[in-house]
Amino acid sequence: MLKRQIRGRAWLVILLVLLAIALALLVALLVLGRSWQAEVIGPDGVPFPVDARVLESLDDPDEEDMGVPVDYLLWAAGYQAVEQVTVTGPDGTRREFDWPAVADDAWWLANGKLSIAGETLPVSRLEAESPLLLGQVQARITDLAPTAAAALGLPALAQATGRPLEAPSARHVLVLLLDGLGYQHYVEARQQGLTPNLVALGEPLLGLTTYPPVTSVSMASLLTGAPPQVHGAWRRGIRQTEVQTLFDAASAAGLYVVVVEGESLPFNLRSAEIRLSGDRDGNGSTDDNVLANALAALDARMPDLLYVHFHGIDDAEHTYSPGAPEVSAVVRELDSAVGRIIEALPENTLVLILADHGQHLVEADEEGRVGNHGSLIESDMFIPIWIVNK
Amino acid sequence: MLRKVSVVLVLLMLLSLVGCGSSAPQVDWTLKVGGVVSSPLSVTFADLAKMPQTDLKDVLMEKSRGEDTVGSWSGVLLTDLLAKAGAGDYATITAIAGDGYAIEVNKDELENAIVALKENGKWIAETDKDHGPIRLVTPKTPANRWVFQLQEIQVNQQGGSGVPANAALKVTGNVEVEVGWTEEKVRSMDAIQVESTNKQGEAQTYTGVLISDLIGKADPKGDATTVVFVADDGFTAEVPLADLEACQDCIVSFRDGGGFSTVLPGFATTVQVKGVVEIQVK
Repeated sequence: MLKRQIRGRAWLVILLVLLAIALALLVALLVLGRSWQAEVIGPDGVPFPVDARVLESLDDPDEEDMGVPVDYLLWAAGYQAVEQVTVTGPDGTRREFDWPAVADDAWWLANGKLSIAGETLPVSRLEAESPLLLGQVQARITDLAPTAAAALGLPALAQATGRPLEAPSARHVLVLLLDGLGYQHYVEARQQGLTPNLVALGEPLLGLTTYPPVTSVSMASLLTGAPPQVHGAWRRGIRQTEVQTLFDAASAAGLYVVVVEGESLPFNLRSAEIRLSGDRDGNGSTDDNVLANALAALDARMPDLLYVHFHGIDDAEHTYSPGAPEVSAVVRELDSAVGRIIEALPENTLVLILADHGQHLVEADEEGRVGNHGSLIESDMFIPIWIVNK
Repeated sequence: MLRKVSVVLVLLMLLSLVGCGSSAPQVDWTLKVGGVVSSPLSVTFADLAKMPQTDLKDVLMEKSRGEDTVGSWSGVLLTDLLAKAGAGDYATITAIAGDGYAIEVNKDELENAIVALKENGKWIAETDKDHGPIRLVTPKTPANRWVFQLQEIQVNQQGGSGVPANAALKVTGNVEVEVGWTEEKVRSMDAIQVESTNKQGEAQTYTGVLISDLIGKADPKGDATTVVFVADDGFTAEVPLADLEACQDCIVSFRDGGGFSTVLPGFATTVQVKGVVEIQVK
């Protein structure tokens, strides 16, 4: 009887031990299955390690994408624009990709592999080449808030990583945003004679926006002088910045700040008088409404800091593709609007004109859009910046 | 007898449970409707819950991020609210959220729009506090116009806007150009000090901006005769326009805790309006 009891318990112990071993094996398999390591060689040659944890930290939980855009990893490794990418597999095989052609469809998958243009590739190392133009960059979008603050005699923004560009002190500052007018696009428009008023302002600086090059993120960098990891608005849909904006600093110093926007705010703006400019006349554009409100603000009393945002070029590029005749018509109209605003400015005004990002041609999406932006490529990242004193 | 009492008690408990499920939650939220309207509104969440409710079934919510969804929404028809506020022919509305977000939406996009209190039969205030307690739902448009935490609706006419979306004080109505200013802007204007008697009968000094100057910036039309002061709680008071234009010590005074009050020395106490947010010219 006693022997039978002991034998029964022994079987129970053996069963439990076997179960524990099976469980441990299962856990090990799961962990090993997720365990992978790769690296992105940064522009300075320093490797940026990538593993499941890094990928998870960059994932956007609200987006049901295939994985994390490879651009995020390239940006995290220090690239500011990419021309070509080389993927090296664990077996040493190398594949080269023309980045502007595939960047929109390049994902780092949770299993550690890459999906580029529909092809799945194992990867141990990723290297990239930047466009030659990067070496000629003269200003960054994060330089604009420090420049405006210095011109108005405001204290420096604590979080700003940008530097004040050379500009005289001024009684007023105008910041004018031409949404979507990338640097190359401007050069082509100038060659076509579409921009006499912008040409009259002189040669723009070759500028670099922030990644991802989308309006809310770029605008937050423009107004805080800081990159997305500092200001917190790192993707579309985030409505608040975590740090002080140029408007906050100007208002705190008792300055009069007016924002003339399109139909909505790209992100919430505190400390400014906000004039939305919806399409009240129903002509399909808010640019005429923005212009009317900007001129009205100037007519009433030139604010110390005036911010004006035209959306028409970006809208037209999404619909008709960058460089399309319909876009050229909008560029010509907005060049004229720039001329009218500058003419109405009082003396001693520092004028800062820039784009938030460019655009590139894409295959038509579900909504039929043939232009888009948001990639770490030359056409999206390079912007023109004018700094003029009137 | 005991059995009857028990049955009644059980029935009462069931009834109270049913009541709990459908009655509006206690929410401290006010929606303002202003701009080009004859009777600006200030309606609480409880007021909205008592108004006739409209159900929108199987509405596609087109999101700019994430997957689109289909759901049902219940709330007050926007047209009912606008009619109650006396909105005439208008071009757009500006919907302003509690966190400062604002968007201007065209009239033709507002067909069947509601101020929603419930999503899929449940109070938004209880199930999705980040996007509640009330939300503008415009079934004809993508969700970027479905402003959550809806706090204010401004009705706009065609033409440029002289009224900032975040105006703390505005002059509207029968004027050449509607104007408005933020709190900071009003306080930075040229101010004067006036003496007036408060409700306790004591003489007191007030600082503020001349009302005639503020009205002058809007340039009242030739046939304008009356001014209506509108307070943030919906209170209104009327004064003849000519009396205000002639008054050299009638001001909008700066309140210590923010906001403004009218101070009209020598006028009736009923026109000394605390928390004035709008000066309507009629």
